[in-house]
Amino acid sequence: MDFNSFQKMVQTFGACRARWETKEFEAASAWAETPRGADIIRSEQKLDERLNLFRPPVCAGLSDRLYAALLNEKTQRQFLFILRYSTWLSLLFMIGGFCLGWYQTRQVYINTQSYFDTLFDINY
Amino acid sequence: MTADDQTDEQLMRATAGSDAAAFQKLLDRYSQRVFGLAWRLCADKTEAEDLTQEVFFKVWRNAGAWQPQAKLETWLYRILYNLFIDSRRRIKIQPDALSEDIQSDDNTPEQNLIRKKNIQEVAAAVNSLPDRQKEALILCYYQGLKAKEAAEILSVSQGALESLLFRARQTLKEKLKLKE
Repeated sequence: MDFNSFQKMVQTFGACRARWETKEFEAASAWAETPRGADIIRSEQKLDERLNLFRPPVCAGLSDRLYAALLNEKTQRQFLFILRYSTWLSLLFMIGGFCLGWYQTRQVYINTQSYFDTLFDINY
Repeated sequence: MTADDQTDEQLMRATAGSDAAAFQKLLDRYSQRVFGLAWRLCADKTEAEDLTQEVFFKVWRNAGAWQPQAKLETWLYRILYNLFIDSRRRIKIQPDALSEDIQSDDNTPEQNLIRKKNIQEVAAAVNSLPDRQKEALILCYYQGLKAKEAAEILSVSQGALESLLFRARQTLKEKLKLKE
């Protein structure tokens, strides 16, 4: 690594060594110890310090709010799903109710049949 | 194994199976970082929260789509970045709103004023960068992504990404009057 490559790398990734992305880390560290290298580092450090001021605000309770919003949305989606298929669901329930009624009426009819038969026989 | 010891892969697999508790762990782990990126990109707290919410809704619905080979954090940032690009088309972002988000420390009012002014100056300088340079700087410098990961998100080569970073820092030095 020559000095220009070192300078370019520091001016790209900043003064913090943990950020340096190079295969020649040892050579870069050696350049950083030289007076010219130290000047470059100092200059980039000033920029880093300024950049570090730009921090996002603390957003207290964010994950709880997101979790609550998700549960709320889940309920809404279930409701909308029911709403979207409400016509078909109504029809399904109607047919189900009709079948149930038919089945139960048949059960009662079995008992009433003999009663009416008997009644018919008595009268006619 | 406690829930905190669980890897991202385990949590994502549980989330794909509609395990809300696992999803909450993911929220605890990543929501602030995703919010941080959103806030830096759009310079507005409310908009940043909305974007963060949309990201996690997408994760909840499509957790099964995540491939464990990809780093979860990078995947989240990519979702956010795509949402941000879409939202930028429909919303006009107001960078001035940023000043309302800057919180005061326990310093004297004068110190707070100076600090606020410095932060506003840096924020304005970062926000005035061309979009790609700003995004490269935010992803690499602030979010700590490797150049390769950031390049993937921005759909550019690693070399192009490094060039964007270099130019961004040079421009910032000029704007913040740090050039010797």
